[in-house]
Amino acid sequence: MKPSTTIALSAQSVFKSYGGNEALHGVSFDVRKGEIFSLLGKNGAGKTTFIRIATGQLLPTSGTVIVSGHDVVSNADSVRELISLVPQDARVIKSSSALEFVQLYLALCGHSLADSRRRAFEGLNAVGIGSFAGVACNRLSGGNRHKLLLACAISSNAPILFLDEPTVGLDAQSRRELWKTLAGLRRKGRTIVLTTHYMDEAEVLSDRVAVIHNGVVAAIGSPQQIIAGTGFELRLDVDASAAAGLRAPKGVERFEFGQKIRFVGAVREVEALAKRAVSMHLPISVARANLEDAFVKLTGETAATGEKPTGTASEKGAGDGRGGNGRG
Amino acid sequence: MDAADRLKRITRVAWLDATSIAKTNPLFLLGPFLIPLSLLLVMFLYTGDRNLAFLLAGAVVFQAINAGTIVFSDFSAQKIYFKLQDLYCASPARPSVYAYSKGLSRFLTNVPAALAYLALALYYSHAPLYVVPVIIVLLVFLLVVLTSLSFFASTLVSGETDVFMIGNIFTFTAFLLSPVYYPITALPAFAQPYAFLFPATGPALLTQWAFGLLAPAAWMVQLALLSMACYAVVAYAALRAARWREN
Ligand SMILES: Nc1ncnc2c1ncn2[C@@H]1O[C@H](COP(=O)(O)OP(=O)(O)OP(=O)(O)O)[C@@H](O)[C@H]1O
Ligand SMILES: [Mg+2]
Repeated sequence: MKPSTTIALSAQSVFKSYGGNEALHGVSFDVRKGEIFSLLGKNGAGKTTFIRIATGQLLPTSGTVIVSGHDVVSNADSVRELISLVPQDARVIKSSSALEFVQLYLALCGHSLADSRRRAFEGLNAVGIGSFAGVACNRLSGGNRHKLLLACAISSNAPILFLDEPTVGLDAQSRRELWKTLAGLRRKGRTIVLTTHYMDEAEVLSDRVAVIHNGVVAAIGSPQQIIAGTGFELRLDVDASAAAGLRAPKGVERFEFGQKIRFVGAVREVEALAKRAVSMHLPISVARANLEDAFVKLTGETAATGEKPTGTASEKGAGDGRGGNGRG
Repeated sequence: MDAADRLKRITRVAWLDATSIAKTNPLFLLGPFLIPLSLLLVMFLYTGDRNLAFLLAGAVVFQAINAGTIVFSDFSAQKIYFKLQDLYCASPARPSVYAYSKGLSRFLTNVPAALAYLALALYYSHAPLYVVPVIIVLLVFLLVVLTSLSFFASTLVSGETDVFMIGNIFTFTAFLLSPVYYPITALPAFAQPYAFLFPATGPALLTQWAFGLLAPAAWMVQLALLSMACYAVVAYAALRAARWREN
């Protein structure tokens, strides 16, 4: 197949069953070249399964994934030449040094001794652990060990990076540093496919996101499109202990939210509700609805109804950012 | 990627890995000395210096067996416990480079012990120096075969208990059931041909022959070569059949 000049990855009706358990039930979407694309979904939604399929670690039950023009089933080696991965649950507890770990990875990928050493240093510096180059991996902190995997991916010259929950265990500073690094890689033309449970991360980092729910793409688009697709514009937080008298009007969703009650909906309704809360002398905070609000709405039904997550939902609703086959 | 490029990658990675192991765990280099030494000691106490040359030749062959079987736990741990096979699988790294570089790396850390036992074996067997390249070829062959089998088996295991079970089978058949430390003629006549079912028997027999420790019957040499040819095919098939990607 001729590689597309604009599409880095194209998934078509990807199904995956583990025995009787169906993890993916017809996932279709495209990732454009040079974008940061985030896969979102609840625990067990199938994000890792999809990444494992797209990176040649796992065979799909059916469907195709094309990476830079190469079919990942029939031409996995060509795909592997173009990618690098940060796995979700790899453990770097070797006694070799941080530098040696990254250098070994690069040498396995075909880099010369000198080149792999230079790149390994660059990678370690890029994730902020250059000063630990000589330290044994098993003496690094958990977060820094995780950064080693990021250093491997970043220091390879793979044009497409797959990062499965890359910022788990990273402190706030490191997280922001990494965002900056990833944005820099994007500017240099690299395509980044990542998964995350941090919605703020997906929102600030991604050009587009796809929400996987019940084994299909429930929504796809820019974070703004996803939010708009749910009809959410504004949110109002009120202390749970004080919010008893406050009812959600039609079209406004009410979420229990730690010690808060959160109301999310269109500007007009939420503003009206806020006025009522103020008249009741309740302390409130109002803000723009965010991706997390949209995500909870998009993936909340199952939890609320206790429905078994067997992947029966169809990709309905082609409105702004909702459903569809994820193309365009 | 052509064969030369592949070989270059394998040696490069093996060198990196082995030097890193030697630097961080120098005690590691002692293992390959000590394991045959303990066997040597027991046999020496039991049979005197009668079998010393056989034991030393066995200690040389052991270095390849040890490296080729220990990688099974390396591969399994990388796959099951560290989950690093995923990292390498989703990269330009090729399974052959991954597998043989680890095998070679383990062998490199056995080289000091191999050289020491080789020198002793040469001394006690009075074998000429020109047998050394022959023995190196036999060791590398055995290393490649066992590494391929270890890699193949490691891609099939899914839990820690499998690792111990299969690991023991490997060590047992390659190391204890094969006449490595003793002449094949020490086995009952009917069992001798069956010994060639095990991968280490052929190379071990030829090594003992090269040291001039025994003069094998023609059928033994033929069976040794046949068994090695078969194992070469099996090794290739095992590498191809290894499940680099899961189902
Ligand atoms: N090796 C496996 N064998 C059997 N079932 C599996 C396997 N891996 C994943 N699953 C199942 O497939 C489904 C999707 O799992 P997956 O790991 O892809 O989810 P995820 O979206 O990455 O979740 P998380 O956010 O928790 O990482 C889950 O129901 C999981 O139990
Ligand atoms: Mg996951």
